Amino acid sequence: MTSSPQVLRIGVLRAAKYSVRRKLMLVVLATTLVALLLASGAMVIYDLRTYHGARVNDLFSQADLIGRASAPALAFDDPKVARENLSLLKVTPGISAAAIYTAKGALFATYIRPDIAGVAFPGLPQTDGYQVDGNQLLMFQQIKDKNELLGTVFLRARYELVDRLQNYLTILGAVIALSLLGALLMTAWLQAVISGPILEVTQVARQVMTQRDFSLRARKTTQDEIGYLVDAFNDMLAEIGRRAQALEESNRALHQEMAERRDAEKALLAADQRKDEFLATLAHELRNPLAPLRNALEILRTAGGDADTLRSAREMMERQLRQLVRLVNDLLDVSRITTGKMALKKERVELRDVVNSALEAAGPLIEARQHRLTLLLPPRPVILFADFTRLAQVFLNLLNNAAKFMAIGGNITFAAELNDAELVATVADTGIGISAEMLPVIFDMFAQADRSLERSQAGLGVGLTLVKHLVELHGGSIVAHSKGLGHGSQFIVRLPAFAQPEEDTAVRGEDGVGGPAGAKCRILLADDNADFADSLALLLRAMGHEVRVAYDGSAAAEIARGFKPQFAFLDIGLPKLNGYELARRLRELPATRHSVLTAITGWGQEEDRRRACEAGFAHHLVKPVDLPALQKILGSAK
Amino acid sequence: MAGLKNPGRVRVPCAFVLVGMLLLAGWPLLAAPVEDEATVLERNVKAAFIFKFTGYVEWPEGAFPQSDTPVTIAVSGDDQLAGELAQTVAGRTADDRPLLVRKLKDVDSLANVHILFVGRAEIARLPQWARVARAKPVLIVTETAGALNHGAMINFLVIRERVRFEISLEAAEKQGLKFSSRLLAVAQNVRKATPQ
Repeated sequence: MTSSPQVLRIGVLRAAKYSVRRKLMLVVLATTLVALLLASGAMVIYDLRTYHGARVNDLFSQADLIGRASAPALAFDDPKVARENLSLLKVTPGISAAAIYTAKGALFATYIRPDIAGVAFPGLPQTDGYQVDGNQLLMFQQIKDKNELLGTVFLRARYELVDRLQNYLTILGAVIALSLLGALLMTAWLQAVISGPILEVTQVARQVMTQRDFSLRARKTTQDEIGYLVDAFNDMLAEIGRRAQALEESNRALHQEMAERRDAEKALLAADQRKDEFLATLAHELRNPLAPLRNALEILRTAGGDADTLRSAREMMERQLRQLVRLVNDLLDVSRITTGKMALKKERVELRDVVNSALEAAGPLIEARQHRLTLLLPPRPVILFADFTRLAQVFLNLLNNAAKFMAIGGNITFAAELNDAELVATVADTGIGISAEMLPVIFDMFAQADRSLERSQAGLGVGLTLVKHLVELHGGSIVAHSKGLGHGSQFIVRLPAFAQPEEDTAVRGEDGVGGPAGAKCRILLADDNADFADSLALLLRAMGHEVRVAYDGSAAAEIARGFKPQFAFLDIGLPKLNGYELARRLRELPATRHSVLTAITGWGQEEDRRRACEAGFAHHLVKPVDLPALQKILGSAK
Repeated sequence: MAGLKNPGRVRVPCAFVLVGMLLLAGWPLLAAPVEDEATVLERNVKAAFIFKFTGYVEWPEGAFPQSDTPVTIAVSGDDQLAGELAQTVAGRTADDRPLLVRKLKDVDSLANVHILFVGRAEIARLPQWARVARAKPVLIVTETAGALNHGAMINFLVIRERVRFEISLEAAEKQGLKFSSRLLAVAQNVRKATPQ
């Protein structure tokens, strides 16, 4: 009893592993079997009952008939007639033996079917009724006449219940087997309707599992629960697909972000390293000119009157000083760039002037290194709206670079042409070129192809960075090209520009007639650094100008009143009266109202320039002042 | 059995009657004093048969004026059998009618008699009884061979020590009596029609 539910449960568990197809088949077979067994059982029971009833009734009727027919024979004691009556039973094959007993129980007449042997008759008749003895049915039926017992009829008949049952079971077994076979075939044929769509969904689900492809969809073929299942499955797939995609996207974004951060970190580290290198370079570069300067000073002090020695010492000092100035200027520019304070004073400039200015500055180096320069400019003047000084710096830097990074006797080409509203200026050289790895970072701050301290060409590695920033501040762009190391390099600058109209050229031409060259000017110099002021005065006087010097602000103001200088170069940090005050004072004086005021300071910050401009200065020069800048100011105004 | 009804009249030849009378006359001499067990048994069986005949014989309409008119059995020539018969029928009925047994001495009126048993002692008077009974529904039962020729309808025989009987349908039909076929089936001999 306790094991049977367990067995059932195990059976159910085992069945749970089967496929739907198999389960359906099992269900159909099980139901068919149960239905067949119930129907067959009912049929067999009904039939056997019917058979039994019919057999008993039949036998009863026979017994009754024989009894009635034999009543006279009993009444008149005629066994022969009784025997004759009994012998009529031979037409009834089911009855194997019969007998008639007298009322007193004596055997009166008997009948035995000829083909049956060894039949024993009960010694005494029993009361009405029947009994089953194996495959024999025994029946006693009393013969009565007017309630008077005349005798008893005994019948022994074949009772084929067991045979019949066996026959039935055989037939039913065959029928059930055939039915199950039919049901099996039918199920196999029909279940495609149910299991087909389910199998399809399963197939798709398996594919999704193995291929991770959420774009797969199950085909909906029915409108029943399975159809609903297919819809739900597809919707879920779509949802999962969306989520997976979103996850992937966010992952990708995360990866990208991480990569960017890594790059940024790397860039930061690289920048940091470059800065360290730059500092080392800077220290080196700043110290370099000091030794020659000291040597030159020693020569000046000891050489006496040898004009050649003095001249070469002076020239050496000029070169080293220029180098130092350039370094400091570059540093200041770098500072401006990093703090974003680089400002342009844009005005209408002519390309040729800018290029000339740059060539003038770069000329000495190019000549020194015996390079050949080819200059290709458009025939008509090209006008740019730009900061003259800065733009000249751009070209100067490019030309200097070309001259520097090229063996002695190379070729430099400066070509400019106007395409619509764009100036395309190319500086090409036949120098050492740029390696493919360097090309993308050539414009980065402190980037230098050669990092060794022993490198032949000095520099801080900020030149190209400055160039790029300046070009971009002018609304232009710059690219570098090189076919590799040893194949030269090419820098192409693009700037917005336009060609000058005809009449403009004419005006400009007239303007240029009375050029500044050779004009004598009255110049006021004010600087508490007497050496600087005196040396500059000497220089300007040598150029033919009339120069007065003051060592403080109030003295300068005093001199200016009488001297009426056309140009005044004023130090800002003057004793007694500072440069700004002095400028304002001079602007108020009628004698100096139209003087061109130039501030000379150690501070080159934008704020200083602004204050100078407010105070009335027209120009602003940062110490140390070089002669060309002074000449330019002297030449520009009239 | 098929020839139950035979409307042809039977004329009993005179020679047979005489021979029968002679035989009957000599019977008591042959069997008078021996009253053994077989004789008693035979008498009892005959009494029982006579009673049982009432169940197989159908009398015509007028034989029983009332529904409770008793079935009267008259016995002639055998008082012992009459006594035995009276015992047999005591408390019994035939077709819900009581049974009555009467002894006949001389040629009596056969009015209201339904069955007449003529013993061997009185067999000589059978023709008389038959005449009297003519046109009356009286079942005449005898126990003498050849009695059927003289008006008896049922005649007892003893065959292999068993009491049997023979039936004359011809005589019965004349009196309007009908025998059940089932009775005919157990009869030793059924005389259906007059042998020509």
